[in-house]
Amino acid sequence: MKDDALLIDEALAGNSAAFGQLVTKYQDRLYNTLVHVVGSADTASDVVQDAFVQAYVKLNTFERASAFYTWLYRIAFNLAVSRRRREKPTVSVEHTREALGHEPLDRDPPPESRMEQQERACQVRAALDRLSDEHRSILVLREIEGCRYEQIAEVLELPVGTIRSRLHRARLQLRDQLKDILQEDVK
Amino acid sequence: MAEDTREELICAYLDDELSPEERAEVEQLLAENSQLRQLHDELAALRTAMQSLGEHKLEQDLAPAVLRQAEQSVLRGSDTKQATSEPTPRGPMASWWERGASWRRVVWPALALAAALAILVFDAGFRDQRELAQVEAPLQEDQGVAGGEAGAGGADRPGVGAEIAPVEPETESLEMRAQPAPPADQLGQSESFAVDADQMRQSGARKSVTSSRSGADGMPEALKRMSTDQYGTPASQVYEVPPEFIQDRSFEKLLDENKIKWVRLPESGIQATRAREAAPAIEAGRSALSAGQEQNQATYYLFTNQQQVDDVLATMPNRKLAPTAPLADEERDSNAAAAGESEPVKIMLIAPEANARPAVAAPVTPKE
Repeated sequence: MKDDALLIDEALAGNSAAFGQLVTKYQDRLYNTLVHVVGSADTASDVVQDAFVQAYVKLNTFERASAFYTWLYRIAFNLAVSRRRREKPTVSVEHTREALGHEPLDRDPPPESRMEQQERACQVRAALDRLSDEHRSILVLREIEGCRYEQIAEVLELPVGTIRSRLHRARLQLRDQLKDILQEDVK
Repeated sequence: MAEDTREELICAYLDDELSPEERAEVEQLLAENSQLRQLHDELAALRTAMQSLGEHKLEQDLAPAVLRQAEQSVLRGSDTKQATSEPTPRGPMASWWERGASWRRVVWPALALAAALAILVFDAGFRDQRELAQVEAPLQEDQGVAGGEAGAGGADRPGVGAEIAPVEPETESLEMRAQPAPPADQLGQSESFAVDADQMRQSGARKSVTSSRSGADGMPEALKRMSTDQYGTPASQVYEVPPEFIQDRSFEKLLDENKIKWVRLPESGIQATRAREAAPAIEAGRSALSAGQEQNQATYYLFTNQQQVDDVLATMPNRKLAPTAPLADEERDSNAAAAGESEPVKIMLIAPEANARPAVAAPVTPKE
């Protein structure tokens, strides 16, 4: 696949298929992250699509100071937060399980642990859902997306020092929510 | 060093975000302080728990839908602007719009002229229908037939339809064909309906009357009733229309202009949906919804009350509803090329509350 810069140049020149390649390239990564931010597979899908549309319409404003995906993610993240605030989902484990649809599992776990794994995943998701938008977002960026502090700072438009302290607080919050599960793991 | 500061360092140590000096300091702390070691272990377990959530993937390629929605967004003077002071972006969509400029300069005036002529013809024919209906037997109520225009439905004159041709200077014009009430034996449980002439007038639509090409059952050739659709929709409420009818989405726009609520869904569902999600959107006035994945074939459903929406959606639990978007240029061309071979599109019409006949559009092919 072509380099992002080249695809962007082609898209700006009127080749919409070039932007389509960017969509194909990044949609799953963006979707996977947003599912955890918004807590709903359907909402995440809508946000991903809306984010790409916004990115395409405003492509000429992308200054290339950051990676295209970082810029795209910022658009998506803002949409996701706005959407989530409007929708205010409930936080029961059952709701989370339903909202996220099928439960992706780790590769080939032993059959007897699959149910445990699913239950655990639901508990973690429900705990994530109970966090504030700021804490959940930063944790998802770090633990799911794997962003460095500088990247997170760029997406959230915050200083790196703030990222560090906010991430710390977010982890403490999530730890408190999942004390029982974590104690098993630590042992 | 404050406790918070030490704990933050532990976090950053876990993330490998420390300078060499800071890393050495933390390792010293961990060696000396069991509480900090426990915190480190808990945060590491937390990371493992989050990373074991698994990976979510989309079931389809969003590229076609994104490009269509972007095109629509540009055409509508989009809600993607962040601030009113921001200049209209001239991104890639602008070149698409500009490429069609010469085509539009020729075609739209021609369509406007054709529409004006159609209106003159419609008016004359419409008066004829009124006069004729006044001397003919009224429609029987137990056939479930509801006339729209009083006596002017032409139910006893199959094959005669009214053409509605709303014209907008900046859009392609469109011919619509109001359907007369089908004969009783073909109605089944359906209700027939006609465009309410006054409503159409008030909405700015102009009318003309032309003869519609009709099949043996009196229905226009462009719209043949199906026996049933795959969702169990009542037979008389489902119609087939040629794919080219749907191509440029002008039909959808015309429905919106005439405040006929409708829902468009694809043949195959892609993602799960919930009727309650769709219903508020329809209720809120977003009358045009379509599924996330666009295909050449689609089923259109027209509704005018919420219960009907819910009833239909309840039969299709695996359908996703999302904002509709016009076809991109390449898909429009592709549809045109395949029009002769594709299956017709199905459309379901439900009697509006005002007993209006639905207007159904015939394709209008712009001539360059």
